[in-house]
Amino acid sequence: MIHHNYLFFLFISISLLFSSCVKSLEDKPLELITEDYLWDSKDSLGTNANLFLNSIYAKLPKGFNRIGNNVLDAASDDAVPTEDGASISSFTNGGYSALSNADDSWQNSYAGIRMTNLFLQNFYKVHLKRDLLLEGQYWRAENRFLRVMFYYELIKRYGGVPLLGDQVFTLSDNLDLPRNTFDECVDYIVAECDAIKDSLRIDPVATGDYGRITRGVALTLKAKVLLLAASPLNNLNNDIDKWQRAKNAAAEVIALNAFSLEPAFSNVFTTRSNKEVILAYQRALTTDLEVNNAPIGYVSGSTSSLGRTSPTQELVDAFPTIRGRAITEDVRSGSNPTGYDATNPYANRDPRLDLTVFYNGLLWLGRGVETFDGGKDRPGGAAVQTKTGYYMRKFLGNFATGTAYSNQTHNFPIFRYADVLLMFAEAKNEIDGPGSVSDSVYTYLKAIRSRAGIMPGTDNNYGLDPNLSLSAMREAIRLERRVELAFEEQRFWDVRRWKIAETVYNKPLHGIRITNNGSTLNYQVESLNIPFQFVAPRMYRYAIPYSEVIKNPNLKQNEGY
Amino acid sequence: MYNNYLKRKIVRSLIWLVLLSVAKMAFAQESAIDSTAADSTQYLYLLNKIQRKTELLQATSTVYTNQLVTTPAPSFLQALPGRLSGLYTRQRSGVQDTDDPTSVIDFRIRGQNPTILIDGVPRDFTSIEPESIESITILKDALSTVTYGQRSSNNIIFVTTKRPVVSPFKLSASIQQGAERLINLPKPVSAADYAILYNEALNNDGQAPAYSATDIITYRDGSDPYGHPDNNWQNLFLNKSAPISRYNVNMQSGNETARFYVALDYQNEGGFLKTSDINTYNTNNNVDRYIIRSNVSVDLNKTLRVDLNIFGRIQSALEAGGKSSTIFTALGATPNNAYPVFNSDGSLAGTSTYNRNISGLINNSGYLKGTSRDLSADLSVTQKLDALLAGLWIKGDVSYNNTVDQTVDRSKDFAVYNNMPLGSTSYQQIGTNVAQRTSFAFNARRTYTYGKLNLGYDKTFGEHAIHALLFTDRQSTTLNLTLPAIYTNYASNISYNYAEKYFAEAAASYGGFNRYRPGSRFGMFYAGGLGWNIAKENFLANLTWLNTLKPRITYGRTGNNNVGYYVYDQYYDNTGTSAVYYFGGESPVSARGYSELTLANPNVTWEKADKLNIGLDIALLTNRLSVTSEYFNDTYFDLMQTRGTSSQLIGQEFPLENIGRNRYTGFENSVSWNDKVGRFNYFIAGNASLLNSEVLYQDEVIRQYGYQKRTGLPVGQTFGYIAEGFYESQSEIDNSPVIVGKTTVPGDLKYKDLNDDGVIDQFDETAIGTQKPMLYYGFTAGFSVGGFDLSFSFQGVANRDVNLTLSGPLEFEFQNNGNGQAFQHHLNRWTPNNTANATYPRLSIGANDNNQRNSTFWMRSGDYLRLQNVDFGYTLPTAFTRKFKVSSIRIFANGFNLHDFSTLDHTDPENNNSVYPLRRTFNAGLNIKL
Repeated sequence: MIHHNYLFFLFISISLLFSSCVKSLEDKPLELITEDYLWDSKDSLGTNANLFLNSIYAKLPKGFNRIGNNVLDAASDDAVPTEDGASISSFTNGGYSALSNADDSWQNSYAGIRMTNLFLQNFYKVHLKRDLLLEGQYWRAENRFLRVMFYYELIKRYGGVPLLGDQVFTLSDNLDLPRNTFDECVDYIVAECDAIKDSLRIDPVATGDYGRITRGVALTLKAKVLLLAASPLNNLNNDIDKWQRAKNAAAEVIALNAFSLEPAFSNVFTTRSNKEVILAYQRALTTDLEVNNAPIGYVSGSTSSLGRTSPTQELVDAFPTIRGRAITEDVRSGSNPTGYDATNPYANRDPRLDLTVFYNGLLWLGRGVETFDGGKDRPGGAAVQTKTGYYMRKFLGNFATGTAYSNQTHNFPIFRYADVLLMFAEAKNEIDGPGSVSDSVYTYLKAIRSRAGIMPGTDNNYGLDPNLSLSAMREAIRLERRVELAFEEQRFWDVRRWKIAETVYNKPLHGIRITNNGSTLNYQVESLNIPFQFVAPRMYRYAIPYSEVIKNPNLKQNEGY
Repeated sequence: MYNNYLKRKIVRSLIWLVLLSVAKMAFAQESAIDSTAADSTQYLYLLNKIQRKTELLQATSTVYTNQLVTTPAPSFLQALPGRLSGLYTRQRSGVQDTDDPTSVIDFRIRGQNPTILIDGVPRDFTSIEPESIESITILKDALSTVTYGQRSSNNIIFVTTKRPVVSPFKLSASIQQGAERLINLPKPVSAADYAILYNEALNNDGQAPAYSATDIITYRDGSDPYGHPDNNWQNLFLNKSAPISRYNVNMQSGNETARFYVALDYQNEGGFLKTSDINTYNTNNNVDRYIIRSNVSVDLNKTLRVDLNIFGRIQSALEAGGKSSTIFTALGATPNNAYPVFNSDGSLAGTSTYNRNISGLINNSGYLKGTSRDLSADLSVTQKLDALLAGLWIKGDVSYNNTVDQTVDRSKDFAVYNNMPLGSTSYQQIGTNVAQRTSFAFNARRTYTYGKLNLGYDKTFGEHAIHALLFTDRQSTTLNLTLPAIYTNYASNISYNYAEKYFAEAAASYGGFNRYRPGSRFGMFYAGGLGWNIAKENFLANLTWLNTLKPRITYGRTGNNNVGYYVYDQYYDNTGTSAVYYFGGESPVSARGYSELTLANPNVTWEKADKLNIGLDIALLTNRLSVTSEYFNDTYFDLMQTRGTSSQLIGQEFPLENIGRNRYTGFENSVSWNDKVGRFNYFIAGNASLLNSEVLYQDEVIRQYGYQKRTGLPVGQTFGYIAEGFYESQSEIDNSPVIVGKTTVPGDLKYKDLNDDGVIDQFDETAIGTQKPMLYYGFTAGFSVGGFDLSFSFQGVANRDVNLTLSGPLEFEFQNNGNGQAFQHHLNRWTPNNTANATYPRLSIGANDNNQRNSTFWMRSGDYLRLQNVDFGYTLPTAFTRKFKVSSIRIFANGFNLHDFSTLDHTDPENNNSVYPLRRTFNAGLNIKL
């Protein structure tokens, strides 16, 4: 009897306890996605791998108002931020250091490089079906391009950086990597571009593939990198060989015959698929650019525009007259009715001015811009308003008439054909000089000016002096870059790679002060009371983030930080 | 699914047992069975066993029912401050109704956040009736907690509910009613002072004043209540007191066959809000708590005993639809002149900046009714196996706990109206009136199931006594949608003593947790202890005044599972339907994405601790004076943290890894004296504990300056600037290092440039605040004479700092871009006329990047002493009460949080960053025992 008790009891307790050990729930959460699912060998369409590649595309440079709502060129002599205390002001007010960098891309770039290496390491596991094998080859090449694009973003800022190769790092790896030299990085990027150029799609691509990396894109990056390596910042001995390589790379892009200048300048930025853009950051249709940058007095629906960027008088003065000559030379007079008139400064100018900068009187949403004192777009008082009397017009859709913004294409142009032509001209000029007016340097410059709408003039030189010296042509090309590629994140880097930052900065910037006397407007150039510092030579390179330098004893900080 | 399975098993086994016992009873012989419920003065309830106090080697500290029923607060944790040596508490908020113990009170044992076990099983609730608690013991060292497996490092608060004992029928009924008051409320300034301060702040920031001189005069004389309101929100919307009442009935009875303890409890806690009567429903805070408890113990025969504890609790919490946290935040952060409560036409007033009218939040927002139901059932069956081997027994425990927490949302929304222009009939509407909705939300559903099988052996051979225990247990915790967390232990504990003079004990546990990689789920934890009661030695036999002199030492390795949700595998995330990029030449075609989530840590394992405890128990003068001292030295290692060398070259976020090492050391002392002189019984008890901590290793990055190193300093040390006073003049600013890129004006805090580089930046931050060990202490005393009894307890902390920057908008002026309130302590701010005695920097609007950083200026001494609890009662003479067949009637009054002494003038020493002020309670009641 007693034994029965024990047995019964023991049986029940034990069965109670261990019945709960019977498996009725899974051992690990099945809703969480592991790498077997992502790189599934049975995924014959490669769907998940393709989605992973899309996420890498999303890490391309976004441009526009990306730094605390300001464009990068608000830290150059082209513009200043409209509001006080903007993070981008740290570039110019002395607040820039290894501890604080408003444009730090170290983390984002290495995260992107990791993703490309993950793709490289794992994509072979996915067995695509036969008619997608070519697509798979394209994806692999696009992936390698994206990797060197991230390295380009790094070397542009920091100089030489650690090259990771194909390795995906794990927790147990030693991350104390030293920096490779700038030239080693350039060679790596160029080698990768050459390796993949024949595995990429050829321009023009099918409509559905628009926005993907193509052969033209890879060759353009190669040209940009080589031009950066040939520029005075990195080419201390002015080695002509480097300029030669840069020129050849740009020539390779031109020789593709896949791109041409868009006939209308505004279409380059608002038409989704056009012949000039080589690579742009693809976005949905939006109105964010208009809302962010149009003058503050405009309201679209119930949204006020914010006018975040204030272009400087320096940029406005850089635009030539309609005849293609500098405003200091082509002055209005009786015999020269189309010359520059300081009392009516925006008339008879390079048509690109109307598409780059909002100035007083420009038509927008049915009324002229009012940046005179007390005007709707410069009311005075405490409101956040333009510091210079101008607002940024570049990239915005055509809303001269109408009452509200509507969604537009706003894809930030990373590479475009005009840039390639100017790169070629710059390199060739450094090697051979300008040549004659029918040689390539002049021809390309004239093509850009012609597209811009500048009058050819009787000599068909679009305002260019036919006998420019090498250094004068260099200045002409630099000027053309400034007005053609304004606000495309080119001026900021150009000023640094040409090593002219210490002279371009460190002096006051200017705006315009317009007073409305009822019937007439009085234009007065005024000095801006905003710090505009550049500490040479250290600020030619960004500081590697301090938090990274203290974690890696082999990572040498750039000079001066 | 899993839980239903176990539920069916439990029900089935219960049925079996009942049948079995019925069958047994038919053949059973009646015989005396000793009650195994222990006498609390001799025994202590430890984690797995009941230990005689004389045999105790572990570091523990205990309170009993009589010290818990005197505190009129919902949670038993609120009765503990100052009473237990080694328990540090901080009342962090006066929030009502939530049952998360850590949101009301922050409690630590030896620096760790302990687990609360009720009757051996971890449960979430701490708001239970104190009459049903037999004892609360805190287990502080390795030997006492090691058998808890992978949750042993964090120390344990072990609560035991009343065991059913052999006793004649006893019934105890209590009725008590109390009034709560809010204490240490923020002190706002009047509207006129607000306008003056606001103008000054604007001036300091280089802007034009917002209020004219006539504005200020109008605020002062109150002649324009609609245009220039001056509302003291606390007076308008907070009642001085809120009611709290509790009704409790408990009864017990038993003989050798069956015993029970049953309790019923109802508590109601009201709210402080002044509600208007425009609604048919109540919108003031209100919490109702209903408890039913039944502990039953049945001896089926001489050797088989069954215990069944059932506990059920329903809490229903009501709050205004505007939510208590929003209301209390608004009470503290809205300036007095923000809006008149009502416009002249009776509508709710407001502006576009201040559009959450407090009256609207309280009265026009509907209500939210939260209900939570807890059910807890413990069954244990003990079988003595003396027939097999004398002293052997076997026991099985099963426990099922379920909590469901849901809210019925009957809130609505209101618009406010701005009379623009003032005095006219036109109003601008801000917001919308939304009709009352009815919706239901499931907040949480938790299920804990627990099963345990013990085999024990207790035997005394002459002078030798052995107690051995071998057990295995398994707990499964399911929260909402996550997979169950399953803890499994195989453990044993053996203790031996010789003549109660020499003691030795050892315990070991092989504990596992299912969220680690399969194959590395179990770890070995062990502890051992030795003790020697010198007083029992023959050479001290003639010292009759010395009853106990027992040094003891324990050492062990414990573990703590601090791991996320299956982090040993790498996971990826797709972006669902949102696009990461677009392709397509005509119109954008969205492209979704995939990304890698935080790196996996495949080698993740449990944190560990090596703990040494050296204790000394002294009892003198026939146990009237007892002293207990503990010294502990605990080293925690393999602590989960992000590595310091988390280089961004890896391109991904680093996971938590087992890296850190900390050490906690300290002393705990308690002294108690109880005696009686004639019919005057009295006791005095005090405890004082010292806690020291040190970071031994945290993979710290290379710090350029030694004063920046965290390693070697106490855990959680605050870092900041050293403030050297205020800048008195612009020339002083021009000649001193300042924060780069910011404009500094006179009246700003001046910081010390520690590395002499001419700028103030993060290299000038160093350890600020005290580094001395924290001292926390308590003092309890009481007496009873001739039917009167009185007891009181104090608790205090010394060597503690309070960082005022953590109080945010309750400390700083004009936060939220200038829309915030200003307080009385801002009146003594720095102005050019008040430089020498200023206690606050110059005023500014919004966040002030220079002044509102961590610095020595904001570190204040948080030392305090609090009169925590006083209880006074009178028991009517038994001769009188016997006439009513009642065994005793006691009238009592008690109070909670009665007074505090501290140097902080505008903030509560314990609660300094919660919008809910703490509460002081005065309570009185009647207890009848039959």
